[in-house]
Amino acid sequence: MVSALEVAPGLRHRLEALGIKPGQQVRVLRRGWWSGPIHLRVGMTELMLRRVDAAHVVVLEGDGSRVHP
Amino acid sequence: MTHCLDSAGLVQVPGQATVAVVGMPNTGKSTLFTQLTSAHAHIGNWPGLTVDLMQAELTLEGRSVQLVDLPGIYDLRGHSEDEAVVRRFLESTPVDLVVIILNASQIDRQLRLALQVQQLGLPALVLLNMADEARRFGVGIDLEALSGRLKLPVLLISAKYRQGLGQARHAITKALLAAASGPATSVQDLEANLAAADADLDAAMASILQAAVTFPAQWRDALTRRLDRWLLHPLLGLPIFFVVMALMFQAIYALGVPLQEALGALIDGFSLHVLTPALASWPPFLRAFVVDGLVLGIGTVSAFLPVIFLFFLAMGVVEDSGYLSRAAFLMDAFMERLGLDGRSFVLSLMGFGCNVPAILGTRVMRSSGLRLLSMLIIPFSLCSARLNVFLFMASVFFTPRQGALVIFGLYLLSFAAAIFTALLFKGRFASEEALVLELPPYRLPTVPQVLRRAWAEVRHFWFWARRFIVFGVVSIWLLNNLPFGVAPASAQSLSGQLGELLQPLLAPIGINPRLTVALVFGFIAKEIVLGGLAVIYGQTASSGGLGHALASEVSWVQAVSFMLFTLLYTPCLSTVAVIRTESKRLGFTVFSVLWSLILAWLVSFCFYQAAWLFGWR
Ligand SMILES: Nc1nc2c(ncn2[C@@H]2O[C@H](COP(=O)(O)OP(=O)(O)OP(=O)(O)O)[C@@H](O)[C@H]2O)c(=O)[nH]1
Ligand SMILES: [Mg+2]
Repeated sequence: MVSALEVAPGLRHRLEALGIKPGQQVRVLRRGWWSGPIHLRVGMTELMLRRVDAAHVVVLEGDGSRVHP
Repeated sequence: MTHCLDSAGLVQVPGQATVAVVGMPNTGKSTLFTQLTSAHAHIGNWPGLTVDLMQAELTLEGRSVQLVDLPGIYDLRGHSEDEAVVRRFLESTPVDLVVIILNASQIDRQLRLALQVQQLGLPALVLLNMADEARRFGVGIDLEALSGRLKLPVLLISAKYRQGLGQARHAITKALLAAASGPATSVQDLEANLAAADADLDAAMASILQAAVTFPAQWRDALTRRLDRWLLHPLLGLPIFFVVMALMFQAIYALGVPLQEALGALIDGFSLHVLTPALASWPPFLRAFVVDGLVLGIGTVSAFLPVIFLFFLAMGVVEDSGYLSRAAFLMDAFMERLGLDGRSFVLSLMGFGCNVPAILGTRVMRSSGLRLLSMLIIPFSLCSARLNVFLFMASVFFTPRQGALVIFGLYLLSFAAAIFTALLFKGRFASEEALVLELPPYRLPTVPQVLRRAWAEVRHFWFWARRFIVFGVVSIWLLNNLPFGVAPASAQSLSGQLGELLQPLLAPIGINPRLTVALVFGFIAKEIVLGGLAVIYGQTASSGGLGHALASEVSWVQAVSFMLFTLLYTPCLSTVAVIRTESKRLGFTVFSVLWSLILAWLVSFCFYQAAWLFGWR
C-alpha cells in the first residue's frame, strides 16, 4: 500500500497519472538484473520504475512496516 | 492530404471545425486518426511515439472537419516537451471539440485526464478505446452511468479492429452540432484552472469509478504474464533479446539480398539491352549522363527497395508488439551506467530505421542533459540509408558469407560507437531524470497495419532517394565535366581538384579522390553515395557495372575503411537540422557534427593503418 510520495511535483504528477498515489495497492512483479528497475503492477497498469526513484515512494507492508526497494 | 506541423501552428481552414484527439500515451489516438482519415500516422505499442501535431481532413456526413492527432499526455500539467506541445496547442488554438481517448481497460487511472479536460470547460466527447482488451481482462463499464456522471457522451470502441467507428463518427457530428452554438475557444489560464480543481479530483474519480466500472478480482492477462516470465527473465532476458534481434537481421539478409541481386541484374539488363540501344543516336555525353548517371544511380538504389520493405516490416512487428518497452526494462541498468536510460536505448533502436524520428522521440525526456546525450548517440545508429551502401559494398568486395559478417560487424560497431561516446561525455550532460515507464500488454500486430507501415516507409525512401540522387548525380556530373574541355573526372576537373584538396586528410585512411567526392556528397544524404559512385565510376568504366569499376580500383581494405567512415560520420543534413531545432543550440549541433567526423576519421585511420601493418592490401 502506498502511503506517501516524497518527490518533486513534476514526478508526482507523472506517478499519479500512472496510478501510483497514496492509498493505492502496488505489487512488485520482478526486479531487473544489476540493480535495474522494478516491474510493478498498480491497478490495471504495469510499469517500471528505477530503484532510486522507487525509494521516494513510501510503501507500507500489511503490518505497517516500510518496504525498501 | 496530410500536414506534418511543427508545434508552432496549425493550418486552420475557415469554415471548417477543428477536432483535437487528446489522451494519455499509447491509448490508440494515432490508430483512430489513421482509421478515420486517409492519413498515415505512425503507430506503435510504445508510449510517446507521436511527439508532434498531425492534421488531416475528415469528412463527416457531408461536412468536412480538421482532425488533429496530438502527442499523448499523462497530465495536462506535465512538463516534458511532448506534453508542452499539447498544452501550447490547447492554449493557442481554438478547438470546436476535444475527443478524449481513454484505454478502457485502464480507466481506473486514465479517467483523470477526462476530468481535467472537463474542468477546462472544453466541449468534449469520450471514446473508450481497446474495448477488446477491456473485455479480455474483465473490466466492465456501465456506459450510461459513466456518461451521466461525466455529463459527456461516452462510447466504447476498438480502433484497431474497426469496431464502433461508425457510431464514433456519428457522435462526433452530433457533438459538433451541439457545440456549434458557441464560438470555438482556446483555453485560458490552464495552469490555475487545473490547480484549483486538483484537490477534489481524486474523490470525484473514485466515486465515478465506484458507480460505473467493475474490475476483475484478479489480473487476467495470462499471455503477457507468461511471455514476461521468459522475456524479462533476470538472466535469460537479455540473451533472448539479442538472439531475437540477430535472427531478425539474418532473416532480412537471407531474404533481402537475393531479391536485391535479382532486381539489380534486371535493371542492369534493361539499361544495357534496352536503354543503351534506344539512345544510340543521342550525343555521347548526353547518353553517358542518362545511362551511366541517372539510370545507373537510380537503378542501383531501387534494387534495395525490397530490403527496405522487409526491414520495416520486421521493425513494425517489433514496435507494435510491446517488446520495445521490455527492451527498455532490460537495458536500463546498463544504460544508467552510461548516463542514459532505457528509453535512449529504444530510441537508438528506432534510429536503425531512420535517425530523424528517433531524435524527435527524445521529446519524451524532460532533463536536457539526458536529451542531449541521447541526441549525441542516436546518429551512430546504422540507418536504412546507410545499410544500402554497406550491402552494395559487401556484395562487391566479399563473398556472401563474409559479407554478412562484415555487416554484422558494422552493427556491432554502431553500438560500440554509441557506448563509447556516452561514456566519454556523460559527465558533461548529467541528468537526474526519474524513469517511470508503462509496460503495455503484448499486442498482436495486424497484417494491414504492418504492411501499411512498411509500404509508407518504402515510398518515403523512394521519394527522397530519387530527389537526392537526381540532385547528386547532376552536381557530381557537372563537377566531373567542368571546367570545359577537361577529361571527365580527371585530376583537372572540379571533382578531381576537390578530391586532391582533401587527400592530405583522407589518404591516410585509404580514401582516394573519387571516393572523397562520394563522401562529400554523402554529407547531404547517404542515398546519394551509391548514385554518386555510379556517376564517378560509371563514366570511366566501359561496362560491367559499378561493382566491377569499383573493385578494379579500390582494395577491400580501402572499401572497409570507406564503410567505417560512412557509418560513423554525419548521417545526413536532415539529422543535423533536426538536432539543431530540437536542441535549440548551435554549439551543440556543431559539436555533434565535429565529434562524429573525428570519431569516423580515427576509427578508419586505426583500421587502415593496422591493415597496412599486417600487410593486407
Ligand atoms: N487491442 C487493441 N490495441 C489497440 C487498439 N487501438 C490501438 N491499439 C494498439 O495500441 C498501440 C498504441 O497505438 P497508437 O495509436 O500508436 O497510440 P497513441 O495514443 O497514438 O500513442 P502515443 O503516440 O504514444 O501517444 C498500438 O500497438 C496499437 O496497435 C484497440 O482498439 N485494441
Ligand atoms: Mg500517436
